[in-house]
Amino acid sequence: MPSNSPSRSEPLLELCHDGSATGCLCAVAEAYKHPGRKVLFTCPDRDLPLFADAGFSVASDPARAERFLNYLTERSSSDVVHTLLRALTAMPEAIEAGLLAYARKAVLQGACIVQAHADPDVRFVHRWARRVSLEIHRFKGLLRFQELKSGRFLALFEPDYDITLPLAFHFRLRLASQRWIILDGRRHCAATWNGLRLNAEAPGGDLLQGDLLERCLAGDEPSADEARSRALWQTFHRTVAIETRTNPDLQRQCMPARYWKHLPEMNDSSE
Amino acid sequence: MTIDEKLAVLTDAAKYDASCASSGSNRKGTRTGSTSVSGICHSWSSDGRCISLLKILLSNVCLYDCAYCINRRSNDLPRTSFSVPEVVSLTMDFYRRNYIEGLFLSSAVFGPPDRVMEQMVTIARRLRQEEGFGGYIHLKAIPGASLELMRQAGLFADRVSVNIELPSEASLQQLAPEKTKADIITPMAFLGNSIRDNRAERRQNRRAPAFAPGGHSTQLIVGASPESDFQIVRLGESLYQRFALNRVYYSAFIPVNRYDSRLQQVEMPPLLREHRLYQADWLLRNYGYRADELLSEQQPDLDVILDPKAMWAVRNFHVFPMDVNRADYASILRVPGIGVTSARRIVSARRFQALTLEDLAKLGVVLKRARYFIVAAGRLIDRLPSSAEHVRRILEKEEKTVHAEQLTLPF
Ligand code: SF4
Repeated sequence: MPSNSPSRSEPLLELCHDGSATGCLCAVAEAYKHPGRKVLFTCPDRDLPLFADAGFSVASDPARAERFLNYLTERSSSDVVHTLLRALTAMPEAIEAGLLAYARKAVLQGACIVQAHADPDVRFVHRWARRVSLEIHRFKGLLRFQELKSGRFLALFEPDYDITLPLAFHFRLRLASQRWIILDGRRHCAATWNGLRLNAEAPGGDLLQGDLLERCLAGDEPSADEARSRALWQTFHRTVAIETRTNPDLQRQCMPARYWKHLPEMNDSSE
Repeated sequence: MTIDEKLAVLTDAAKYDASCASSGSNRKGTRTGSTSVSGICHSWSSDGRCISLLKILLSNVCLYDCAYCINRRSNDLPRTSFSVPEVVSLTMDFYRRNYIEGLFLSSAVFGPPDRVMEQMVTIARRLRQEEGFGGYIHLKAIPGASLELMRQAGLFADRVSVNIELPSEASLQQLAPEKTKADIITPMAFLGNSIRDNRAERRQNRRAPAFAPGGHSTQLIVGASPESDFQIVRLGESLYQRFALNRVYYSAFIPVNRYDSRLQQVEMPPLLREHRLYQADWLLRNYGYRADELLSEQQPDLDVILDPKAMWAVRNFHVFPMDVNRADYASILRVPGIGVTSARRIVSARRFQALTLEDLAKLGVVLKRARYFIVAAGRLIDRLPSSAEHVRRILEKEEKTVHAEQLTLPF
């Protein structure tokens, strides 16, 4: 686990944030201003209530987070910041200390820090960034849209990480002429595209659990063609496999079973 | 036949073609679709293969009688053809739902080659011009079709390719007598040249229309005819050099027409051989090996137990151990257990610090393999084996445990 070098004279700096990506970045930005201090990061969602309100509470301020990222971009590169943001998306344990150490080294060594593969702090951030990027890449292929009566398309999925937005950017180009909704059923957040504008619905707010889907659908239901296309796809998927090469383990390894729920081809009742 | 039945027949007939990657093109449609340079897998079938394209035949009605092919005219099968609008709407319906990355269209030869090819080109043109489709299109050219149709195909498709089918002209004559070497090589050379010229032109003028920006590939069947691995790997090498092919695909012969005595009689598809050929091909394309470094007339076949890289290392044991802090990139790449990624990481990470053996594991080096071939900071992992034979025995022992598992697979 990455850490800062503690100093003898100064007391421990305790920083508490709200658990959001922005909050986390602001806490890291705050800690960045105290080089040499040992820092303890807490956030109420994750840590025991006993410690939750200890220390200094850092406000979640998007403008501040952006200023911090701009500073890092200038001192290192947009690649470094991109990697850092990917790792942040995963929100693993001790992410704050990891990002702090990464940010310090990036400023010190510049853009080439992304090549320091033997450095434990760099490896920590890269490992998480890679996992998030891998899941984004997977869902570029595995996200399934269904056509609704209104002509809109709905994609429901339950990813490990909060990747709705990067996926929306991908499909904004790919399915540009369709109106669509991408809905993360696990985090209850969504992105919608009306052919011109992308809108993101963040989790929380006054949305109740489970309401988002209904609100997005607003009485809409699958189109008349939907079942037919789905069945054709299932036929194709079933037939394209070569029996003499059957290898379900390999299939499962490439396409983990936790993603199957929303894939029509893996819910083929005629098999 | 209903569309569902047709789809089943024409997917079944197309499934043996392995060359269906969707990589190498970067396109954006006017309305729907884009391609991505590295390609995207959309699903995996129960044989563990990635599905990225709607892989179908336009028709499985065939006038030809190629010995190795399920669709040959002497087989008694349900026969059918898609119409042009049927293929267009299937592609669009699947694409809009993100089932696929695009279309892979091939066909049996149901009439004069030009007529078949023309319908395929019409499908690609309609997708691009009428549907504003920007997804991936791979057309498999019909041997013997005119170069003018090849040219049109290249304007609408991301990839156009011609299957070489068999590793030698003699085998082609024997097993696919209706196809000639010229039917295959002429369009392949035309495509290779056009792609090369077009790339040069587009470097000058980015607005120039693209010609098959995803390049071209080919497929050959392994094990239906008697050629050695050396002949096949050398053929692959010369195809890459002469025609600027992106990929050569090797497809283990699936013994579909057992009644035909011209074919090699095999019980099961030679999957391990196919796998070794892909590994050797990979070494040619990405690791800078030459075919005649890997194999020779005296040793014409790849090793069953060791992968080609380990095989080369054992035969050239005198160049090891390699010092990972000093050796150049190309030499490091030749160490078994070190791939392109870890070799790159080694070269960049050693600028920051001298690498120890512990560091290597963190950089992704498979020490279990590499240990016999490297030193780091003056240290060996343990005593180096005394001879090539010794390493071979150690590596084989490791491999055999893996194989024991693989050979029990229900192929
Ligand atoms: S031309 Fe030969 S390989 Fe092609 S479909 Fe007909 S029989 Fe099969």
